Amino acid sequence: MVKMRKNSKAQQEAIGAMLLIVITVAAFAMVWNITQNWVSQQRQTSLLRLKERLVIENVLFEGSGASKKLAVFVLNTGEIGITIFRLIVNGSIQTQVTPTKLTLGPKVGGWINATFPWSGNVVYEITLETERGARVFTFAKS
Amino acid sequence: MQRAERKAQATAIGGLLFLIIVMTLVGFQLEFNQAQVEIGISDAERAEERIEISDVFFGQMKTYTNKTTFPPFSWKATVSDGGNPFTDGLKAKSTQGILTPIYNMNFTITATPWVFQRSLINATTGASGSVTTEGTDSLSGAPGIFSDFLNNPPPGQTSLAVMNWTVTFFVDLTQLGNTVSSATLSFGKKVVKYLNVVGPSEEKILFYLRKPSATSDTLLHKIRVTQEDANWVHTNLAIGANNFTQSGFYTLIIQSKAKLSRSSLSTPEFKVLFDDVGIKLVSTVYVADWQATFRIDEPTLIVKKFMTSSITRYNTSDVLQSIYIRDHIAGKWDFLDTSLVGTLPSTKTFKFDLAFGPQLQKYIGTGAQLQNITLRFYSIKSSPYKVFSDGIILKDFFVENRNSLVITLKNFGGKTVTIKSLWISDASKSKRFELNLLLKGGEEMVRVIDFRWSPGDHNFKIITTRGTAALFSSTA
Repeated sequence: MVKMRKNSKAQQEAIGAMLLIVITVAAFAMVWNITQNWVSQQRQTSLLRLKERLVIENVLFEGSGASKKLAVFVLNTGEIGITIFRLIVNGSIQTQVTPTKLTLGPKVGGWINATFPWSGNVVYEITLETERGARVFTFAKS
Repeated sequence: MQRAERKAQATAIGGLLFLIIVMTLVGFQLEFNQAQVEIGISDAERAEERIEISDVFFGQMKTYTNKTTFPPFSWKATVSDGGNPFTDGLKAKSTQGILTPIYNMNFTITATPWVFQRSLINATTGASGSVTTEGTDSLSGAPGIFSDFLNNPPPGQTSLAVMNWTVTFFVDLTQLGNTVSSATLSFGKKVVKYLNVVGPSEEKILFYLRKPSATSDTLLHKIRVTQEDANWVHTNLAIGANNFTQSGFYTLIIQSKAKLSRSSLSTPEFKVLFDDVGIKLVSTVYVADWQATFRIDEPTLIVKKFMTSSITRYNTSDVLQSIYIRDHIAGKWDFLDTSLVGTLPSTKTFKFDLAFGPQLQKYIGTGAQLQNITLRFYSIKSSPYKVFSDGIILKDFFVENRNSLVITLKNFGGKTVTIKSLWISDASKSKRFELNLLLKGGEEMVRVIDFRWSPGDHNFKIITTRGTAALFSSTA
């Protein structure tokens, strides 16, 4: 009788130990998953945004009347590809922009055009924003 | 006791797993930091970039070089193993420095720059000097020069003539490393008339040297003449290196003194011929000396500027290299640069802008030399060496049409940069040119751009691959 009680206690302790290990591993798996997701996300955003480098080479004020437009030439001076998706003039996001997204490989430049009713002899602040959130700006006189 | 052990085991496992997560986070943080460092370096490199558009010429440019189909019009080299110094892979040995500063020592055609003067006692005429073809058997052959006193004095009297041939020459001791180890006077003389000449014990031919800023002349040599010479007498005479201790204008005087007595038979006469009169200065240094003459194709009226570049190197360090350009009008070399050059290629560039003075026409030449531009490279060192020419280039800039312009870019920073693009804007248009030009630190580059320009203001902008920009404005 005493022997049977001792065996039962031993089994309980073994099961308890196994449960503790399972709970620890499960908890670790959850935390590990969260950590990995966060690190991966940071790699895709903050880290790559940090590496983005672009320069506005020139801004041209073209056209007349209703067909006035801005032509912005941007050069990707960084080591990774970038996608420009926003053109901002004097703090105002431009909506009539072509192309809507401009993807540039490293050391490659390209044009972004926007319909914009510019006035003569005025200084404009031109800002470009990438998908990852990097921004570059310049001042250009029409 | 067993429970406590299991707790400890669980804690250890939990701690280990926690450590793995921490290490993952720390690893990412390190990766992030590394990226920040790299970006910081990249931004610092961009901040260090120093570029400029140093010049824009509205017109065309043509390049003449020994490495293309436009060789120099001519070349001349005084180097021991000769060869064409303007072909690829030239290597020339230096020779011991020698300077023969007297121009026209053989009296080729005329006596210039030699000048004849005379003074007379008891005579008013009869002393003369000029170029003559009389002495055909001198070292260099005819012509030479003569001094002649042909005079019959009154009975019981003598007449005296002192006849001087003088030549002034410039000695540039920098071409000998400022050291003259020996100086030699050489001349050929032939007395062809000796009739009723008085005083056989007197020296009748004397050589004097007038040093720069000197108040008296130094006697170099004297010759006692007693009779006519059957043949030319050629003499090489050491005259003392200490006579040439400074650069400047020296004068050599050949004096012929003749005292004649009365004769009733024939007119007394003393006549002597001279030829091959020179001074040779030898230095302890070793010299390599060569010249390149470029003949530009364009009429000089439309040439607005030109620039020359040379690349030289040596097989040893610290060779003193001087570069000159020929002044065709004054007939002299104008100094451009002196520097110590060693085994690394040394590029020297010189610009001549005719807009800043018509005097630069002297480098393009006049008369027979018109459109010739001549450069001279003169190198010295105290020990023998070899010199290598890796290229001599001349570019001329001229106005012909409005379809091109020449832009000069300079990287005056220390790091290599890549000029990605060039923008040219005028009142009506703006155009981008993809350049992708690599410029080393300190390097300057000239590029011809196909651009239809119109008179008026133009703005220029260059961008590097790191994003640095430089601006320039010019009016066509």
